[in-house]
Amino acid sequence: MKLKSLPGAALAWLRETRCKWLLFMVLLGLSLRENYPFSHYPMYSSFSRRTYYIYLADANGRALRTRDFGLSSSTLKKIFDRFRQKELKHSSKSAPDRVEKAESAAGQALLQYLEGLHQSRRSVKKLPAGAGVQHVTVRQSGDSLVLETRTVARNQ
Amino acid sequence: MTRRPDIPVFAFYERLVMRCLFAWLVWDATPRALVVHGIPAPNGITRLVDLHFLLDPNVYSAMRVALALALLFYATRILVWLALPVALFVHVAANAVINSQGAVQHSAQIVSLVLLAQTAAHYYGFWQRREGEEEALRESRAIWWSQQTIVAVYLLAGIAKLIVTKGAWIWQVRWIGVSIAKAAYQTFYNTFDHAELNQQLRVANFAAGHGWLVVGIATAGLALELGSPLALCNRRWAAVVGLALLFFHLGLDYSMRLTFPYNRWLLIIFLINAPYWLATGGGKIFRRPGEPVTSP
Repeated sequence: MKLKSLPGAALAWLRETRCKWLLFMVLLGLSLRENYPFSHYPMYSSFSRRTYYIYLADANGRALRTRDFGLSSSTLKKIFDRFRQKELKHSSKSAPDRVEKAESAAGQALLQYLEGLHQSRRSVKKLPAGAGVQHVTVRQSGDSLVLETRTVARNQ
Repeated sequence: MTRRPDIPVFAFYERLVMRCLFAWLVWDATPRALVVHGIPAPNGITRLVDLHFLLDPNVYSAMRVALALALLFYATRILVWLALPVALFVHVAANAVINSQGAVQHSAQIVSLVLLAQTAAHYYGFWQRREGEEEALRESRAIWWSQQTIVAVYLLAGIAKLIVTKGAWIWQVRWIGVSIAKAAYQTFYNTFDHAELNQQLRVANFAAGHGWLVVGIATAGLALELGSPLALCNRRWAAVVGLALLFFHLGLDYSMRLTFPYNRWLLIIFLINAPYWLATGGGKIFRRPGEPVTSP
């Protein structure tokens, strides 16, 4: 097939195809990305040797059930991640401990968000005094999985 | 003169079952209450429309009543031109508020998109009617566009994997054990179910120790996503791809507790379409010898 006839053939196919709505939805998803109700479905679209999750713990380090505070663990992590990205954007790239500082600030912002959630909905439990945000790094070392936990923020 | 566009035609009983099940699904995928703290990170439609009024519990209750009525009208084919936009607005607005808390979720999104497709198909049908199209084709087009929307979601997920990783997704997926462990602990902190955590960690450790086996399985999953448009070839392909995607979801549920209930239901309703196979299969069983085969 001659190369210059390709655009014409593509246009003819576009005119004839029964699946115009499919193409339209795919193009909308790719261009609008994460804009509800549209999405380009980026979840699990990439993997690395290391990731992290967070959970809530009381002053003694005992884990608290996330659902009691009006959210799921995955939503909790996504909200923390949004605060973390925001802090990282505002910090100087040369600062030596910028990631730790950003995570600490994100943890505090998350605790404030949970307090606000409790204020607006009384069915949502109040975080106990001294409760903290625990950050757990999960990484693959050889054929094994390794977990490292640290506290990034604590409720005053 | 009437025109017959190239879209599959669905029988009355298929359309009825699909309508009732989809109405129930929209109802279930719309939050019972908006347990949120404002709209701190506007997303999608909340960037265009101020939806703070929905945060008032009385207003939201009224919206839920409007949704219930709209879905009842939709299921009974009364005032569909009004029922569909009302249902679309309430469902999308409520879920957009939930998705504007700083965490985008992909659970109800596919339901919103199918509802959008059905609304668009209905209004496109008005225009086509003026051009001389048969009235009865309007609902079949809504189903056809719903099928294309479901396929688009899977196709997009496959394309995103290739774009984000510049094609290296298959190489990276051998580290999926890390993500499975993360998902396992996240589920655990929701429920404190130790038995479930142990079961999921067994899967995570197996994946970490058998990277190349995981690559093989995940490649099949990616091929299924990229090959999902085959579902649009005919009813048989729709059922085959629908069933394959349903088993794909069951595998994801077992390994990562990613349930995606609405995706599964939409596959069952619009692609697998059991009533058709029961009716045609049943017809074959009860047909007298020599009687001609007819399909609804």
